[in-house]
Amino acid sequence: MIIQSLVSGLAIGGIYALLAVAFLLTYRVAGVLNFAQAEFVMLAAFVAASVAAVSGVPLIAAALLGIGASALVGVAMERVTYRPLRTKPHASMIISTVAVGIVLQQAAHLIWGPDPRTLDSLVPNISLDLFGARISTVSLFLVAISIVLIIGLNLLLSKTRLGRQMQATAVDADTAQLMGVRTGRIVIIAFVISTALSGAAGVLVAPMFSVTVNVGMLIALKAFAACVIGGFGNLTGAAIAAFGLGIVENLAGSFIGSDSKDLIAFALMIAFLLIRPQGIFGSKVGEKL
Amino acid sequence: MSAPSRTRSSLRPAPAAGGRWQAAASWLIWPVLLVVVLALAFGISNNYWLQVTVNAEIMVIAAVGLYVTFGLSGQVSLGQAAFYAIGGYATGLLVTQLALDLGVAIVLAVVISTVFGLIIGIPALRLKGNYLALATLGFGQVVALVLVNWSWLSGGALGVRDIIGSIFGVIELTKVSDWAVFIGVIMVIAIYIVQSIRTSSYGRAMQAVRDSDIAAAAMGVSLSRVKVLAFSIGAAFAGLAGALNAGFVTYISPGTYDLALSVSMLAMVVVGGAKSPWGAVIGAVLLTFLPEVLRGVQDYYLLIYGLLLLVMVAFVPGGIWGVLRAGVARLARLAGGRGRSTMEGVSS
Repeated sequence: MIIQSLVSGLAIGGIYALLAVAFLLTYRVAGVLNFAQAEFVMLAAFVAASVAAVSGVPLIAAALLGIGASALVGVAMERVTYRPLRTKPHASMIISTVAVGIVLQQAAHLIWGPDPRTLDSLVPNISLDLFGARISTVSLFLVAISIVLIIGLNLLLSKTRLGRQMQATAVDADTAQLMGVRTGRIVIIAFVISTALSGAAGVLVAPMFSVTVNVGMLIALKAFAACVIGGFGNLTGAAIAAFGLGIVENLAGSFIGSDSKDLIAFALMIAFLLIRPQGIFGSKVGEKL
Repeated sequence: MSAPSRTRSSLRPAPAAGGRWQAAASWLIWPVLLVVVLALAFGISNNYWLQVTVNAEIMVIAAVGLYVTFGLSGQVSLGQAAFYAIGGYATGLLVTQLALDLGVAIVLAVVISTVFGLIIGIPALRLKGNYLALATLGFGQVVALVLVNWSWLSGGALGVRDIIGSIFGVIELTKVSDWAVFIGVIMVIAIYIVQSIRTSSYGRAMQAVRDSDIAAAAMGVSLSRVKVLAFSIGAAFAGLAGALNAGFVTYISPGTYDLALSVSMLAMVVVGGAKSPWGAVIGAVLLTFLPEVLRGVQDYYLLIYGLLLLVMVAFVPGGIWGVLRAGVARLARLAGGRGRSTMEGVSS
């Protein structure tokens, strides 16, 4: 029972972690909290489900197309709404990302309608027997993929020239530009990676829920909560917090009651904001870290 | 939002004659507004449109409150629906469970939402805008989940029904037009209070904090006090609006109080114009009537709404009120330029 709970907690935690690092990437590099994050999850899931419904298309191609669609819309978002507003106060930026979310959600509603879609998992769903607990391969796959993607992003940020340019832009965009970093391009790349990761989360999570226009909403909100709990300071901290959050809410769901499951994430988030706003791994709160 | 244009125009000494006119107009607006509210209450014979009008008046109350939080002091709240819900549920539960007078329940509901505003406003002490947006977003989710899940308190998905009572033991509001008078008058008072806050020293301090908190702190403004005050005022007004809504429609259910409501309250202030309470008033009225007018294209309503929000934020940061003001100023300049020579002749 506990092991089962732990594994499914890790699986959903992996989804939160992908979204949390996606969220932090645009926050740190571009200085914008993207409240439309949930819609990129939804978009990729819908595109992948529609493509997969066409017979003969391999599932992996559908998934990649979904992620690609998400990234493409991410670029459009950067061009149309981020760029003209980047010098405006952060309030305008927050409202514009909320508005982008509304537009994407409604567009999806018009295109795909109210009926939920389904998407199969990339791996067959087999129940494994581990230490007397029944563990599904889908959960293990989720955990593995999300860890691989997050480690990959970390390597990209720390080991490559592009990654270091992104970090420089995050620390001080003006100075980075003076040092020859093309910050405009770096911001677009951050948007692409962020929305693609959100899309990946969407494709991965779709087999667990049915695909509706609201599929991304709750998980994106919990990813925000994970960022607060882990601290906006570093991606790894937020990812660890996200895995932890997945486990904690699953344990709460099995031992306290299923209605406490959703509540606990937001209660933790508000408690952290009040008591330790820098999060578990953060050092100091500032507008830009 | 930065407001260099407003600070400039309010600091510049106005011409004497114009100033007197403006002072007279700013006093005249209140009786005129009261007359308008009463005329609407008794003039609209169609019950449905009168209900929509009352809803608009309720949203005006919430929006001018959010104007203090967002427009005056620059704090983004994505959780106004939570305070609206707290006001509504406090009223509903006090009336149905404790059999309190509706008027008393509404007053207590405002107190309760203000207390919640204070509790949640404390992050504003330490957190800058982005974090506050997240905290209020999370708070909104917590309240929405509590309303659905804690059925022992909130009645669960069914909500609270039969919220009926007299106002302070004497007045029984039965007809829609009674409510239109009651809520209309409260709305006028609410706008008056917000306008007074705006021109008070606290209002000036809030604007200073919004434009540059470092400069404001250096000038001796207590950031924490001003921020928490501004946030609590927004919470109190949202609670009042929610309480009035509960009394008016007599039943409440959790589905109403979602993120979309919080966003639309923020949209009212942004679309109407965050630089003046009148902007919030225009935004609230417009965005309450817009869905009614767009009934025919209901599927596209939210899409239009999102696009409208994007366009306003990107291209019309002053909102509708800003556009109107600029238009009036241009007209006045045109008229003034022609009439100045004769005026000067008379005064000298």
